[in-house]
Amino acid sequence: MLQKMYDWIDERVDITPIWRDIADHEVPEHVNPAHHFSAFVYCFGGLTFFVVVIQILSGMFLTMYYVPDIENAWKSVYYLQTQVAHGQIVRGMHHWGASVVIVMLLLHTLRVFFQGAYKKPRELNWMVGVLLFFVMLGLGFTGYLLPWDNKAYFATEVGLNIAAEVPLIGDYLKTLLAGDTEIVGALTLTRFFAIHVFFLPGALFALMAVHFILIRRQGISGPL
Amino acid sequence: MKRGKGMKFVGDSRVSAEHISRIPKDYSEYPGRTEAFWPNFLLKEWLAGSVFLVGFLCLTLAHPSPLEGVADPTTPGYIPLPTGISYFYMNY
Repeated sequence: MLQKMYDWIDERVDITPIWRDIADHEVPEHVNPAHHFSAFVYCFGGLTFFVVVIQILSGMFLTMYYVPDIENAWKSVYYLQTQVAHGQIVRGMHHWGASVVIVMLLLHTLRVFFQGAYKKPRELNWMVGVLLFFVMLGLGFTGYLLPWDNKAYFATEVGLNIAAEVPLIGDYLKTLLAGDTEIVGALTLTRFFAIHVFFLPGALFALMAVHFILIRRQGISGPL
Repeated sequence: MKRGKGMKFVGDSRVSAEHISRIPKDYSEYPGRTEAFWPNFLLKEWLAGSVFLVGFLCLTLAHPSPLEGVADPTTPGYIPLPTGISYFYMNY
């Protein structure tokens, strides 16, 4: 039955080469922990991706309850945390995942740096990786405000004041983020929500696609 | 160190004429021990990933995410320090 359905589609749109392109490649010995245990360092990039997937899924479920408005934001998080079945676990995964993803990302960066895997011809992929790091920091910063508790509010005030210190464009940058030159309030919350849920994830997906396509194009760097 | 006679130089005595390639060999030079990505390696990868997931879930269960009181700009003397830094900040 499934085979017939697959064949029906494949006959018409020829999908086999698409997934075969991704599936058919050999994993070289030097990156395989089954042969050399020290090759576990190659897992960090994949684990970063895995935690990103956890973040996307848990975030999708969080938006089912979260309300980006200063009257209800804290209340919706409190309700999710105390009343909703397994809400505490879903929010916990998103909360801890945000920290774990940075740790994994840094370990992956250290692996690439100390193995010199960023060298020619992989310089472009290193740059894309650095952009991914900035996007991830942006996601962390904007997500921090969303629970709208005291720590979120005052930490964001500090962050916005740091943004205001950027030479030349600092004040404009702060206004762009906060929606006002002075007040951290309703506009700030909706803007941070939009940036956290639409703008940065869009950039994240595009950059991740480039990152992975480049890996398949160039292959994994050779043994040391 | 290869000091002494028999070495050929290119003008500058610090540059040896023998060129040693610094580019590591391509991994196709090490045949026989590669593994198919699909499905063998991917399944093993997911096994390792599920172990990681169990550890991650243990962390989330052991430490529920914190939620302080609702944001109030008039709270006096609030210092927004991440937990862990505050101890050192207060004591040193």
